[in-house]
Amino acid sequence: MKKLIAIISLLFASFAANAASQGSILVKTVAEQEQIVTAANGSKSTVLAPAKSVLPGREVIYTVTFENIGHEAASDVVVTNPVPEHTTYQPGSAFGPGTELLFSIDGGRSFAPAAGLEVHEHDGSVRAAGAEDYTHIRFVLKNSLTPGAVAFARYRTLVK
Amino acid sequence: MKQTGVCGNEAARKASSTRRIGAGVGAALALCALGSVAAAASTAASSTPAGTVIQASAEVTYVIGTQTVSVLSNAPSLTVNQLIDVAVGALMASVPVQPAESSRSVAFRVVNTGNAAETLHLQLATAVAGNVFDALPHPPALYLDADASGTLSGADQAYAPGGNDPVLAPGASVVVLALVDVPAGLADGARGRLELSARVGQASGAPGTVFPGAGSGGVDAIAGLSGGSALAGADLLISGVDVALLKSATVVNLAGGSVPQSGSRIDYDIAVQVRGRAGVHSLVVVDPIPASTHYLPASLQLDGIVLSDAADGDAGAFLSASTQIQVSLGEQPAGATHHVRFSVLIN
Repeated sequence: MKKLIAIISLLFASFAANAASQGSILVKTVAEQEQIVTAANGSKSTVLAPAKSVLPGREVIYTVTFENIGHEAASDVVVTNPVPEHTTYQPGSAFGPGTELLFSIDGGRSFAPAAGLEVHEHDGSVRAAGAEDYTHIRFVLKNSLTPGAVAFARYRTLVK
Repeated sequence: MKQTGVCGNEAARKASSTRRIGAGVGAALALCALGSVAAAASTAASSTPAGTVIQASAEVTYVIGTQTVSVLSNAPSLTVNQLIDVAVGALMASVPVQPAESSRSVAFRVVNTGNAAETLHLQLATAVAGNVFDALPHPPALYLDADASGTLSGADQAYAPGGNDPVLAPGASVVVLALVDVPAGLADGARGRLELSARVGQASGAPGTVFPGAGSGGVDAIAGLSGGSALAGADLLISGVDVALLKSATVVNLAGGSVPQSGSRIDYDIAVQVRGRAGVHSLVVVDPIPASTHYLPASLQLDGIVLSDAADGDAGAFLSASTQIQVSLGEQPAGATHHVRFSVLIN
């Protein structure tokens, strides 16, 4: 156990070193589920609550926040999210203000807008890719992330 | 604790077998996440097993000045809870039976629709509200259909509650045969319903009920839409076989009128009606030519269509050796009606 902690500390130390020397982006992923909350007056509202466990068939909402904690603007900011194992991407759910949205169907080797993705079947036929084919979701920030700026991207998945 | 060096599916397997992952290991596994996803995309579309840990992470790349930097986010873990669900269905919703039939088997399929292996308790009920008759369970009443043939055969195992309760993997099913005796003296069309119920051994409750820590490997177990128990019914339907033959005759005196005399023709019409609820198979109509008459060649008809007298490819024949007509109607559904016509001449 001590050895593990040592290794992890080392990893964090190297991240921290990057942050210090290069002016960096702090990135965080949060998993949440929708919960219906009933207020004292009986009105119901849907809120996002942190998820620790799930059931098959339920939706999980992932939110990635990235903050420039350095002193220089970061350009060409690209956020890549593998669709988690045992889940499928919920069509149309990806959303990131000021970003261009790309998908991969080949394990992250290539990316394209949803409309441009085609699946070549073994029998030679070609079909448009569907959400179940996506392996990665990528958000490409259109503008630089200036020091102190925070951006976010969100997508939903369904647990198989 | 060497998971830190393991990537891909191996890491995922180890992660799910430990079921609880500290923040440190989570961060270390995130380094592998990009490589393991291609395999994930090709997994079968069945329910994710209880206890599976689902992890997600993001990788951010950016440029500062002329330097490209890449960082990984944390990787939040979600544990998949156990879904308790079961479904039962009858292979045939309505089963034709005869009065006093013994050891009739009725097949049901029981499916574990949850996401963990479950032990299932089975129960047969034959006294069901609304029944015209209650079938009698033929001990031991329930069999596990080993070859899934839907009928009782040598390899099938008698079910002993608590002794050999079926254990089904997620998505797996078993065919269960209920063996019953049908009482005697029942009218055609009488119905008697059987119900097979299956209950998940571990826990059952109203849909959504949470059993904290009761699931596989200590995850929470949650009752699905079935609540962990399900039943299905099958109707035994008394289906007598009843074929009616109504024969009528018309005398045609070739000299005029209808007084029978030598040389007069008699036209016979046999109406064949399948009246019972059950269809019949191998139905053959045979009628001897009456004494003192002889068959009028080429007069045999089925439903208005002339049949040749020879025993050949068509349904009918005049058998000169036994002096009878024969028409084979084969398989006939309940309610079928046919007309066989032929003529004789009085000697």
